[in-house]
Amino acid sequence: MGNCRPYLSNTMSDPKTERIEEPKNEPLDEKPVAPSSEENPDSASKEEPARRDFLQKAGSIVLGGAMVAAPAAVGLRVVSCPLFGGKVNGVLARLTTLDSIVAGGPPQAFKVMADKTDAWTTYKNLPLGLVYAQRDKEGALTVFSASCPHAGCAVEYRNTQGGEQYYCPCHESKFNLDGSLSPDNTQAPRGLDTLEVDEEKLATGEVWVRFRKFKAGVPEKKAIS
Amino acid sequence: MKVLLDWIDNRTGVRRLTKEVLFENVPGGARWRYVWGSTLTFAIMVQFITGIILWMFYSPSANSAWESVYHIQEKVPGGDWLRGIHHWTSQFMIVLLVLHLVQVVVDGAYKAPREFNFWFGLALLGITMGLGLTGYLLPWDQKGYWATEVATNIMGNTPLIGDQVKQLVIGGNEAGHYTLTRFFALHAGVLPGLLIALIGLHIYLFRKHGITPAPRKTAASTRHFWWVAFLIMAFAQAILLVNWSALPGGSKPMVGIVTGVITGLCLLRIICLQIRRPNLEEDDNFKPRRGDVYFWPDQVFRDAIACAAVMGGILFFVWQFGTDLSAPADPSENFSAARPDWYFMALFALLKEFDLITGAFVIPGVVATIVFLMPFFGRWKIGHWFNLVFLTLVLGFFVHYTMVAFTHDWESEEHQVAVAGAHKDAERIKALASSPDGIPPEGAITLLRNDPLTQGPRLFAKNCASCHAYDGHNGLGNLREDGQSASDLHGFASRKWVRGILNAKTFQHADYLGATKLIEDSEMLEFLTDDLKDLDDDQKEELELVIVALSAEAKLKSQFEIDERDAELIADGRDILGDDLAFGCTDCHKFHEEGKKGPDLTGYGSRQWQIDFIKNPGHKRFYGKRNDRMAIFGPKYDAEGKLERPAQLSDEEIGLIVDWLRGEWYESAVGGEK
Repeated sequence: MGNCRPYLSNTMSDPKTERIEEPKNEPLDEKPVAPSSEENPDSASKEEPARRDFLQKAGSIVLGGAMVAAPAAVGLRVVSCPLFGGKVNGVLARLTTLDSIVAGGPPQAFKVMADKTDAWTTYKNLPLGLVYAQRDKEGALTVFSASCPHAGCAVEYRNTQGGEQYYCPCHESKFNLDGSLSPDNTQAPRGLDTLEVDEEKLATGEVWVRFRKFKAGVPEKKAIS
Repeated sequence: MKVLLDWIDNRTGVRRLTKEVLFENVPGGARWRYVWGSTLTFAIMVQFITGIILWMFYSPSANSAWESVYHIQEKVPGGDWLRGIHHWTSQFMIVLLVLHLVQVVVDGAYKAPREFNFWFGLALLGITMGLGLTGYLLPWDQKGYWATEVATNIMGNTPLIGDQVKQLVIGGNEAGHYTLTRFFALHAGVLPGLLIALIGLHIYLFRKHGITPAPRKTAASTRHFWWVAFLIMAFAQAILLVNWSALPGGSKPMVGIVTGVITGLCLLRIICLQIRRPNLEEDDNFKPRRGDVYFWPDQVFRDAIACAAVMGGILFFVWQFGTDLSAPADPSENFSAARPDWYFMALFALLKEFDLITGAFVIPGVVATIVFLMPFFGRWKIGHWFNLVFLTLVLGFFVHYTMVAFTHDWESEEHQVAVAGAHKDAERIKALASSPDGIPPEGAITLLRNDPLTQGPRLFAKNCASCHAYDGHNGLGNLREDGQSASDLHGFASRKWVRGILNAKTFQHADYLGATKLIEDSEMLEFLTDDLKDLDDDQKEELELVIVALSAEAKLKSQFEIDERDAELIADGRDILGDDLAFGCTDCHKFHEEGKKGPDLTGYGSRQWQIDFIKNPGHKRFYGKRNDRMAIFGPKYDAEGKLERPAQLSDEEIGLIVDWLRGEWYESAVGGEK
């Protein structure tokens, strides 16, 4: 790139007479002029134009690059704000009373209702998602997130000739009633995700769960919200 | 590497393209005055980068636009800088466009064969102003809303097609969701698209015709340039000096120093050139004409420095002034601080001197037409001079009218009050929006509408201040010119207030009941003057207990701590208050179970007490028939209990006034409002 130094145009005439005709450049193939043309009138020595040339090029690239990089950097920082989110701990929400879930009965679906701040809006008592709550014959309570651990579709409870099971309509993952993987499951990498039930509240007969999302598609259960 | 580059070049011809871009001939050498086009391209690039990212955060709807802008400005790290750069770059672009236009006209670059390029440039100026106008509304704040209201109403007065144009632009007859979606599509889609297309054509034509050959640079021409620069700066300083007293105080040092330094540098350069004049002029005689150079790197280097200077300026403004976000748009809340962006202020002032059609259409239309025809006038030498003079005049008038508009605002006390009020609302809504309750789905405007601190004083000024005062003013800070005819309600029911009303001297003062008819034949006044005249120390102590106890009935937020501390004293005071053998308050007053008649002291000054009072001060629980002039603000019933007229103030409004009087409003934990 060292061969594009200033060159002297010998064809230039009085600018006034040039007004209409186009001062068009020579064909590109002949450009740039060879570095040997030393007719630069501004130069006092032979080294100076080369150095000035280099400084100008370096300065242009660095300065110009920095100028475009400045707003781009601010922009990138702003766009990447979701990556700098704080700690995640789910949200505690009340489902129902313990008595209303029949021991040994079929699972019951609940909409999780809680306050939620979505970017700039704060909602009161907004439906956040779906869970299944069920009690075994001894009365022990389990709450499953309805989000399929395979790819996040909502699983359904089914009671067919084949017996009771959770079934995902998207990719046909199948789970036993206790949440474990069904023998004929093909897709889900792990059983249904249980949600933490607040023991203190449970002692008073109230069912509160910590509702959260888990990473889909992996064998281990990892909370992401 | 080389193989890869060769392969790419072979398939795309990228080398040839780069050469074509970089090795443009610059006749007569690189010049500083050629940088404006590049700085503009740079500014547009910045706008695209920042604009697209802002787009990712923006929600164009009447109840989420302000909220999303507030969110990026206040909650997203770096968001204030992003929005700031976008805002200030748009301001700089207007200035750069004008400089570019001036350079083109002065250098004669608008003449044949470059007419089309000149017109494309004018169109780009128009599009940029359109981008400014549409962008001004998008935050959906009071400032943008009211400025757009004015702008679109002017648009509606366009001869023949005005109504239709206005309806199309704002999506109906009233501003709302449609206005935002349309303005946003214009701002982020249509106008930038046109901008890119026209810039493409502009640069294509510019390269096709080449740079206009510059006249020879001589010692004299350099000197003249600096003289012009000096005179312009001197003119600017003169204008500043004339308006010095009207300038906002905080900006004075900076404005003074910046213009002073620039003027000083111009003068220094002139002196320098004058001293070396004989030498330089001699040089002219045998120094050959400056040679041509390529665009790269000579001109590019100058362009890069200029871009850096522009960016530096932008960042300086973002850092120093930030970016305004006034309160959310509210059509029911008149906003007297409404002003367009500064570059429309000259037009704004024009509208005060001429009628709408002349000021908004005829004059700008004639100016635009003449500027449009400049290339044709430029065919003759005299025409070129005409163009120069005309452009100077237009810019002169532009500066003049802009200054007129700003000086008017700076000197107008009314406008300053409006600006201060707008600022207060803006600060308040930010405090409310960052409260733990956040912004409700209905939008942030509801926070401000339900805020006692904001609405209380307004309602008070409108409904109460004709008789009452609040700390000597009308609630909004306007001092009363006439004496008030009813009590000053600042600190009502506080210990200080109760102490005042239980003192014969202050009882008769206008700040209490002195200006009302209630003191005529007042039994209370009689009691205060006669019975409380010669109290011994024990009695004085007892009276103080009564004061503390009565004030505690109000449960004021400001006295929460001392009421808690003095719980025992309050209990004692309540006993004394209810004891008709002590001061005998309950002879004339009801206090909980004691007493029967007269102004009820049970829960005196509490929220419910005040609401009930305002709803019907003539109720036998309060002043009864002795009520002096105070309106019944609740619904009024006749003797048979039939509704005579509905309430003057709704329960919510009365609640807002009472909450404000009682100092009950949201305060953020850190810092907080005064």
